[in-house]
Formats: sequence, structure tokens, C-alpha cells
Amino acid sequence: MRVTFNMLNQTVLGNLMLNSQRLMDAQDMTSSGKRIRRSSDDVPGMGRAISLRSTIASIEQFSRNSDFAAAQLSAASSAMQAIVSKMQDVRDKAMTAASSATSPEARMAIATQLDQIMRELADLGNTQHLGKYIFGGSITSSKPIIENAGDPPYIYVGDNRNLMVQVSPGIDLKVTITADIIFNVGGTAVPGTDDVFSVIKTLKELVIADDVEGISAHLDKIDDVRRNAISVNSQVGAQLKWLETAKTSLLDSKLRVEELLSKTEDIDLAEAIVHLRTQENLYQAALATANRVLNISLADYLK
Amino acid sequence: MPSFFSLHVAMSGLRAHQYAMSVTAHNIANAGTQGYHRQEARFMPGNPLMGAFSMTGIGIPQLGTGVMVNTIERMRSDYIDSQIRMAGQWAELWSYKDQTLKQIESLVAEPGELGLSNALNRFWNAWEELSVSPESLPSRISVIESGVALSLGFRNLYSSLRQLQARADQDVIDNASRINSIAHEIANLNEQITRSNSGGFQPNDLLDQRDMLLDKLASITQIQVHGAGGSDMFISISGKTLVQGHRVNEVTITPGDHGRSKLVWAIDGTDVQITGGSLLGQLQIRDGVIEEYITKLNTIASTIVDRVNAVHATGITLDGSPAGNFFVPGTNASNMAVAADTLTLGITSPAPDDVYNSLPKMLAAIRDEILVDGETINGAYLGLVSRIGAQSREAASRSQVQNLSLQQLNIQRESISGVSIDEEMLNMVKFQQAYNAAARITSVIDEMIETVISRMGVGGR
Repeated sequence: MRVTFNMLNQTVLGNLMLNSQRLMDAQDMTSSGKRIRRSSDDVPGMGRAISLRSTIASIEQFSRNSDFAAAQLSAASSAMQAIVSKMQDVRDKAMTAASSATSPEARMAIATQLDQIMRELADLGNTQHLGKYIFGGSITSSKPIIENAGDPPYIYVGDNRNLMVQVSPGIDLKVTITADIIFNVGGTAVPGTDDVFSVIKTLKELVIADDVEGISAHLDKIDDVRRNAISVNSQVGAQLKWLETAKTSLLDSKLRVEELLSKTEDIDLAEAIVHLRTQENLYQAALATANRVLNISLADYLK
Repeated sequence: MPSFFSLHVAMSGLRAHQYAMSVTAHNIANAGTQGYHRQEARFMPGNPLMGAFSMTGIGIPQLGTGVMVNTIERMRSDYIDSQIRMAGQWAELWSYKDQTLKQIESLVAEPGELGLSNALNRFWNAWEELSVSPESLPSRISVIESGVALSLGFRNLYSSLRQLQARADQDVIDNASRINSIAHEIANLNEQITRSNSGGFQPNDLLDQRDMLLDKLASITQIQVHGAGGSDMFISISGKTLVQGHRVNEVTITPGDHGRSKLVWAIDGTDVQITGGSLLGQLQIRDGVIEEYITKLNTIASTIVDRVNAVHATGITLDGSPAGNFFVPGTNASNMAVAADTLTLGITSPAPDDVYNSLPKMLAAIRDEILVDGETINGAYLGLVSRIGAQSREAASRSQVQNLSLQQLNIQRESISGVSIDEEMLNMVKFQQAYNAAARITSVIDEMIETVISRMGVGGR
């Protein structure tokens, strides 16, 4: 085969191009830190990377959602604890009033206190979180519990539509607790028993009337609504506890997915640097070879 | 035998080697000329004198009359030339596709923050965000903004693809005029070659030029070259003559379907059948690849528009009136836009539903619905991106393979036709020595004649 200067030239140039292209690629990979820079670098890998990114995005959203749910439920929980302790107060007052040792004056004082407790319970029913009433169902901009001239003394004006928040893939958590359930409005929680306000109002009337037996008989009703409040409170507590677990596992799976994404699209730095060095050496070798073969000619040896 | 006969023989040697030295000089001068084929002076002994000066009486000896340069040969191989043209057209086709697909890939910008997949994720997440506080203004603004960003993403990708398509169309038009201009150049050369041939000359350098033009033409589209490569050569595209002798059958552009340019024969308006070369690459990119991507993109966009609108319209707005369309209805990737604002945005479902944030949740859940060809919307988009990636990868590797084989063939051609400096140097030395020797013979003969003239027959003086 005849070998001409142009052939040497072309081969040297072709190889230099190839080597410098590889060097550029290795450099790009190392400096960008990404193994997949465009979809054709690794089509299945790119597909995996995009799905993983979208998974991470939804996990982040779920975790924002559960933060929101946790904040809402904690607000509800502290209000509920206050409500439960007020209900305990009511029961204590009823017990005191039911005792024959209690003087009528003391009973009058208890009646006044019961009025005060009712107002406080209504206020707790109107608890706000981030400027929104949390116990009113979908009605969050106006008070769900308002004073009523007739009977019962306080009424519920919210609705019973709920906010469902997705806190984990496919798992919706109900973050709304409506005041009608807390206060057993219309017997929604304990059928056959009046709402909390009516129960307290009746108690107050019995206390004013010094009807000791009536008060004792009324204790059952008080216990019914009190137990209802306790059960709602423990439900909220359980939901909060569950949320905490869900959040932890959400963060866990986010870490796992992020690791997977990094494995899919990021380079192994040590490997990439070794690869870069290899390409660099190859390029230098190609340049050195070019220097050797392109510089010789018969012309140098002819006199 | 006349005394001066040998002087003529020596003279022929001088002349022939001087001639060959010029060829060597021409070769060296053109060592770097593109398309140049090495030339070689072919020597042939002169016609012998038949027995005119027989001295033996036995047989009839032939006396050589020196040397003459018979031809100047152009070193080439038809076979490799046709191979190069074949490989050249595929190399051009795939490298055109490779470049365009790489551009499309960078437009798609996946995987990355700037791609549509990110805009899609943000859009679905914005609904999710709205679902936890349907009445909050920041959440409503965020839904509208993410919808606007998504529409913009689709519209940008769409118009960039259309621009690439228009550029491919322009490339087709440019190539049509390049075909015509090359055809005319070849026709001109054909005419000059015919004239040279009939004058008995060898138009080597004209043939070089014509071969180079043929390579160029073959890289644009597949051509057939008929005839022995002399003046009787004619070129056709898919059986229809483009150049014959000095006549050219021009191609021209007419408006075709969808306002795209169509390549037809000027003479009868029939389609030019393109079967290879960069032109085929341009047509495939323009009518096949990009069109397919745009169709898919439109399907995805209009699915989002229709589905989001259908769900959104079941909702009610902040002030309790029925929500209308979220996106401008009936739009696709070319004109997608958000129709709703923060007040006409649907935020809840109508009253009988006891979950009042079910509307944004339903909208967020569209991301998991199977809507396009058995895929979710994100899945269908991923399919499109994967298809672009796979096609780009194929084009890149095909282009690399074709270019390597072209490079290999070029090296083979160079091996036959290229100028080797070493070889020319040796030839130079050879011709110089031969010239010197012929000159020496001339002076020896001169001395011989001198002997006859000056030293013989002194008696007559």
C-alpha cells in the first residue's frame, strides 16, 4: 500500500479529532458532575432520572402537605385539650353542686362560673390557625360557634365538609374536625344526648334551682359529652402521632430516591477523574505521535 | 547509420526526462490540492528502425530510436470513487440528522430544571398545594402561574420545532439550487473535456475538477453516473437524466403540502425521487421526525387542556359561581394558554360533596390518570423525550460509522491517487540522474563526432 503524506495527515487529524472529542466529553462529564447530560447519553437512564425527579417532587409536596396537616392538627389538639379540661371543670362543678354540703350561695357562684365556662368553650370552638377558623368545616372566615338568644345558648353555623390532605401516596388524611362533633350539636356524636351548651345550660338551671337530685341525674349527660370530647381529642392525638411516622418514612423514601437519582445521573467522581486522566494521556500520546511521523521526509536525507 | 542518429536518441532522453520532471513538479505543487489525482508520465521506447543498417547479415535487427512520453496517466480507481460517493451520501444524511436531533435534544433540555417535565411537576404540585388551603391567594396565584409556565413551555418547544422544520425546508431549497449549479459546472466541464479530447489532449486537471463535483453532488443526493467517465458520461437521479454532455435538466422547487417545498423536474413537473444524501436527511427530518414530535407534543398538550378543563368546570370559584375553563379550550401545543385568573379559578367542589377540597385534589390526581396511548401525561412526555434521545443516539452512531467508513475509503483513494512526497523525491533524483546521463551521452557523441571531424584524415590538410 502506498502511504502518502496526506494519508498520514488525515489519519493523524482524524485520531486527534476523535481523541479531543473524547477529552472534551470526559471534561464535560467531570465538570458538570452529570453522567446524563442529554437524553441520548443514556435513554433508559434519562427516563429513570425524570421519573425519579417527579417522584421527589411529589414526595416534597406530600411532606409540605403533612407539615400543613400537622400544624392544623396541633392547633386543633391544643384547643381540644383545653376543651377537655373545661369539660372536666364542668363535671367537678356539677359534683360540688350535687353535694348537700354545698351552700346555696356557693351554688350561685357555680352557676356564674358555668356561664363563664360556656363562653370559654364557645371561644375554643372558634379557635383560629393562620387566621382561619379551624372547627367550622369549609367555612373558615367566620366564627362557627355564635351566641344564640334562645335555646341552646350557642349554635353551630359552620358546615360539615372536610379538608382531605394527601400526606402520602394514596393516603388522604382528614384534617378538619368540626365543632358540631366536638360539642355534639344535634346529637351527631352521641345520639340521644343534647349538645354541650344545652347540657351545661340545663346543669346551670338545676344548680340555680338547688335540685341536688336533678344534678346527680344530669351527671350521666355531662359524662356523655365529656367522654365524646375526650375521644375526639385522642383521635386528633392518634392522627398527629401517625403523621409523625408517615413524615419520617416520607423523608426516608426521599433519601432513598435521591440516592437512586444520584446513582442514575451523577458521575462517580473518582472514576470520572481517572477517565479524564486517561483521555488526557491518550490525547497527549496522539499529539506526540503526530510530531514524530509528520516531521520526517526523504527530503531531509537527500543531499 | 548517420552519425547524428545517436545524438537524436540522446536528445529524446533529455526531453523525456525533462518532461517527467515537470510532471513531478506538478505533482509536488499539487500535493495539497483537494481532489487532485497523482499523474505519472508513461515512457515508451520510440519506434525502432527496421534493419536499415544491418551489419550482421543475419536477421533484421531493430535499432531503438530513444524514448518518448506516451501518456500522462491520472492515477485513480473507478471502483473506489463510486464507493466513496455511496458512503458520502449516507455520511451526509446521518450527520445532518445527527446535528438536527442534537439541536432538538438541547431544545427539550431533559433531564434538567428547564425541561417540560419540571413544569409539569410544578403544575401538578401547585394543585396539590391549592388543595391544602383552597381559599389562600398565594396558592391560587401559584396555580395560575404554573399553568402559564406550562403553556409557555409547550408553546416554546412547539415553535422551536417549527423553526427547525422551516430551516430544514430552507436547506432543501438551497440544495435544489446547489444541484443546479453543480450540474451546470459539470456540463461546462463536459464541454471543455470533449473539446480537449477531440484535440487529442488529455484533460487530466479538468477530469479532477469534474470528479470533485460528482463527489459533491453525490453527497447531496444519490446519483447514478453512466458512461466510461470520459466525455460520454451522463448523470441521472433515480433514472432521470440530470446532465448529459453539456445539457442540463434542471430541478426546481414548487410549493407542496403544508406549505413545504417540493423538488420537481423543471421540464415536466414530476417529483424528483430522492433516495439518499443530505437532501434525503432534510426531507426525513422535515416531514418525518419533526412532524412526529410535533404531533405527539400536540396530543399531550391538548389532552392536558381537555382533561384539566373537564375537571375544572365541575368546580366552583371563591365566590361560589361555577368555574369555567382553566385553559383556553381547544388549544394544543401551538397556542396553549391559561384562561382562568385568581377569581375565576375553581377551588372547591359544589356543596353536596362533603370533602370541600376535592376539586384541586382531583386536578392534582390527573397526573396519575392514564390518558395518552396507555400512558399518563408525564409518561407520554417521557416517551417523546425517550424517542428523541433514541433517535439522536442512532443518528450519532450511524453518522460516526458512515464517517469512519468514508474516512477509510478516502485513505484508500489517497493511497492510489495521493501524492507521496518521498516518491516524488525519488522520481526527481531518478529523472535528474537520467537527464544527466543523457547529457553525458550527448557530450560523448559530440566528442566522437569531433574525433571524426578534427582528428581523422589529417592528410587532407
